[in-house]
Amino acid sequence: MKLVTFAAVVAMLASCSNGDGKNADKSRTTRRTTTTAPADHEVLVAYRAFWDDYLAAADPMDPQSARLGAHATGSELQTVRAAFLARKSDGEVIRGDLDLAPRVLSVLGESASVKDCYLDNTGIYDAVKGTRKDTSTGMRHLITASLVREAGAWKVSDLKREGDGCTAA
Amino acid sequence: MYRRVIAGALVAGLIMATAPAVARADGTGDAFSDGTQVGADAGKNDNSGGGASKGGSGGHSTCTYEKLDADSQAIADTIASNGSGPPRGKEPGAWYRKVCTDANGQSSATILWVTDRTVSPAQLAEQASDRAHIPLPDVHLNPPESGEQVVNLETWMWIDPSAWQPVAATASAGGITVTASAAPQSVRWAMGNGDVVTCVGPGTPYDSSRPSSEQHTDCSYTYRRSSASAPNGAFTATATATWHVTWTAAGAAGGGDLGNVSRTTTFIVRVSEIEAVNR
Repeated sequence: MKLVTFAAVVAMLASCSNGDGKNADKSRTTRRTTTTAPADHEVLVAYRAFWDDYLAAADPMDPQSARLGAHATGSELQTVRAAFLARKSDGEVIRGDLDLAPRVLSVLGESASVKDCYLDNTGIYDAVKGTRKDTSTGMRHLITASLVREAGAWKVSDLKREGDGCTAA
Repeated sequence: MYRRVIAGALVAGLIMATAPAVARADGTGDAFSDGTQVGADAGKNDNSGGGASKGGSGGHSTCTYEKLDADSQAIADTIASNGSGPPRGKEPGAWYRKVCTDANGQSSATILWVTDRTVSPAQLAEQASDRAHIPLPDVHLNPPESGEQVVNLETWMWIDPSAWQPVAATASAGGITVTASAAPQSVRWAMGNGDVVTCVGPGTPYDSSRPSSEQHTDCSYTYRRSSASAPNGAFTATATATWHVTWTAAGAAGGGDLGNVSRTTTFIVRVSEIEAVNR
């Protein structure tokens, strides 16, 4: 990855959850602006879009959302749709925001790999009552995302957990 | 609505009711793949997703299972049919929601197809045990069983060594495969005259090509009286082999002891008395 500058941190949507989830944010990721090579940039845009789609489809919970298929494919798409259906059937939604810190590990032909150390400010909420059903870990999570290019569009095909408690670059 | 929790290696037939644990987690856990087989990951480290234990995650998972309502069943069928959801099983069953929480509170949710035909690992073990071909003891004597034994002359007894080997069989259902293994232990020889000899092991085959003085057995019996007064002039003897059966499971926790299984062969022994004449 070619990180040339590490510029301003821009909060896409700044407000946070108030604890009861009624006014919690949705479909929000914190964006760190960087200058990258064109291919890397496309991959990162797609990766961020994946999480935007994830949060958008999670409140209201819509396992059949067309957005999920826009930047996810294969087993990852199956994983998310299955999880969202499970949550929906229990009256749950996911609300909050993510502070992403991705960097491209590789871009080889139609495949790419991204490493991210993101802060997860999302939670699982009762869709009707608005009460949070879990408690935030307040931790950053280290993950590796695999992406493939389908019909010219980069899509996340797999996410792997690497550990918790990482430090964003 | 009811909830079901499966802790450890239980399939749907062993479900026990309880309330769900409160998860300490974030909302992105659903983006990571999880085991989708009933009982497959309950009770083991959940390292799905490529090494969750690196950062201190992992540990034993507790999973809740709940049958989806009709609307959700339809959605599950739809995303299964278009390939964007987990595949539907081929056998009759239903879609279930599965939510697992590990020791560190990390939770993940998914759906899975649970077939109607669910059995416990222990039930499978019984099936596997029934399928394991435990042979009847193939009895051999020396003097040969086709002839007569002689009073006061040692009779060698043994079981065909080729049939004195462990045997195993498997049975599978619902993603669980159970292997039952049987190992031969001992042979109880009832000599037909009320005497009993128990031999640990199959006994030693007598080799007629070698001198008797060079051979030894730890499984023998010496008749002291002839069988002339027995019905039809012969003793009805039995050889009962005892096999110890154990089982292990793949796809679920479990395993243990199924106890002993016996196999008995009945055979006829004629014992003659050779009188020495001293002049």
